[in-house]
Amino acid sequence: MKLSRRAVTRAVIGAPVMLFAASVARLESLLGWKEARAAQAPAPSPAPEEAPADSALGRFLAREEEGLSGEERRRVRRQVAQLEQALKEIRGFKVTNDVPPSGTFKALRTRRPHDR
Amino acid sequence: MIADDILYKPVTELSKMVRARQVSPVELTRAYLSRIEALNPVLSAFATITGDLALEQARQAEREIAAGRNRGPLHGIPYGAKDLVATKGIRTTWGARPFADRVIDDDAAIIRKLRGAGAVLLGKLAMIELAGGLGYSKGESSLTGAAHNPWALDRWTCGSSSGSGAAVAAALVPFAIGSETWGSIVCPSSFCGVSGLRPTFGRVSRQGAMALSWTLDKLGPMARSARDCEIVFDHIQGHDPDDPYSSDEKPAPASDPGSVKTLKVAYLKLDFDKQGDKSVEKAFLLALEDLRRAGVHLEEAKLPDLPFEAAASVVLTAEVATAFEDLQRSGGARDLVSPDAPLSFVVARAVTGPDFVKAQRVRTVCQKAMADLFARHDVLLYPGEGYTAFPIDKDFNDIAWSDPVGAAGNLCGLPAIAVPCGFGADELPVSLTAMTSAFEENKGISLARFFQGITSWHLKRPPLLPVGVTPLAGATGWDVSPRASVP
Repeated sequence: MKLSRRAVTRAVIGAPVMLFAASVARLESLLGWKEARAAQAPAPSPAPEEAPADSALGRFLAREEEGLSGEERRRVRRQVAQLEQALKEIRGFKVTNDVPPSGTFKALRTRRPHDR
Repeated sequence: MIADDILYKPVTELSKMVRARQVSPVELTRAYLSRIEALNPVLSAFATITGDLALEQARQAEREIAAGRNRGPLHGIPYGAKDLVATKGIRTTWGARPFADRVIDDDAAIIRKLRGAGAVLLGKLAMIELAGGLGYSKGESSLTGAAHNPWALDRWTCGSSSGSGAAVAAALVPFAIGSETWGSIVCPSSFCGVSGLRPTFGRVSRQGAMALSWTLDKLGPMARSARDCEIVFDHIQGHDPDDPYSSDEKPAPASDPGSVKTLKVAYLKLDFDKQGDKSVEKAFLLALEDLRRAGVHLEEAKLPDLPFEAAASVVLTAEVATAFEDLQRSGGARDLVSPDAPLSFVVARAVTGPDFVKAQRVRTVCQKAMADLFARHDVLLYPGEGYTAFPIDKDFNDIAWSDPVGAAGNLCGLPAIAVPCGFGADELPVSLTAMTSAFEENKGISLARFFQGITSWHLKRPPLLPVGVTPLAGATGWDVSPRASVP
């Protein structure tokens, strides 16, 4: 399966990327997620070589940005289309209300010199 | 005059020699600096060489050791640090033209820790610009150009810790500090035939290090052996209130290669029919066979079928775009080598606020699934990369390369250690990677040390590199059969 430049880049540290889609498995051992996961239907998205080279959002973003050359606008359109595949997977992934985001917000205590 | 043989010795042995006064820190430092002077023009491994500082630190170490003060196994041992950690009075370029002359007036926490351990800073190591955060398609995307792989100068080292991989492999340093957001320690370790440890997220303070992705970045050691990685890790891990993401978990216990036969060790079979080099798969399977013959029970495992790569991509895309927004505002992104860099900010606008939060919720699901996987297995083995080192001018557009295992490990903040396990058909290094549950680095290191106790791949050296001589892939001529010592 051939991945894009951005996919490779991401693999060696990171940048937005396009993805080939994985079908979603059942995760019966996850507490609280079981029900949601059971409802998840495998939904393979197109392989990268089948990925669209363009999308409405990509065209919009490329058009709105000032100072891009024609070639740069073409690359933006292609990369947005690729990123949208990852977004499609994430948006389509069902989670129930009890699944919080991974990051945890913590209140920040004031640190004063004499606390040290 | 110190021979190359000494410079290729692991930290464990160099440390014994220093303490036994068989070699002095100053002599050692001078020898490494000479080798750097000779080979860096060929390899482009260093961004900045800190010869005067190194000699000053080496003299201090020598005085202390002579006075009976022992700071531990890194005392008097030279090293290099990826050029994304701040160093007071020394330029910190992040591998990028807009920061080519920038000097930060403070040391990063990791530099302070290593100085406290008595280690000697030889210089700042080359890297892909901004650790690749804004995208790149060629190894040349660096202020210092492409780093050349010591195993074959026409091959790349991988990135973004390019200089760290090259410098360790060529014995320009005994150990290096690298960083990984997604693949940047494991891949250069694999391509360069060195050992590299990606610690658990939050284990090593990133205070003073370039932020690419606050929830994915990790700093870790690259060295000549798994044991060396552990020694360095012992000195750089620990809670730091100045890194808001720093963990306050207890330090990892020491590794114990003798415990490996009691560990539940599993392996992942990647689909090399879809992508990758079959000779890499062969080397990996032979490594598994070595472990079996040595008495390690292995069973096959499967990665949970979850959108690891999609979630990691969305999180990374959003974090990167805001991490470097000052470069976008100033127009500095246009000065980067990669033509895609300035476009990343435009592309990132496709990610909405709800997308980012949703990706973080998917991440929670992924974390639970991986924690569940590691309830059944202590260590998960897989090939570090599906390929050997690419040709140095290769455009990545032409390579099929996905990384669901690396995505899972980095998205979930899990540690992994990559160690050499053989060579591909082109006689370039291949790695075996051991991933474990969070905060259980000791188990992966135990497995890696056990493997290095029954094989000698980690002792193999790239062809010697006199200036002007250009070893090419497949023409290195060394013995590639170090599989004899399996009991």
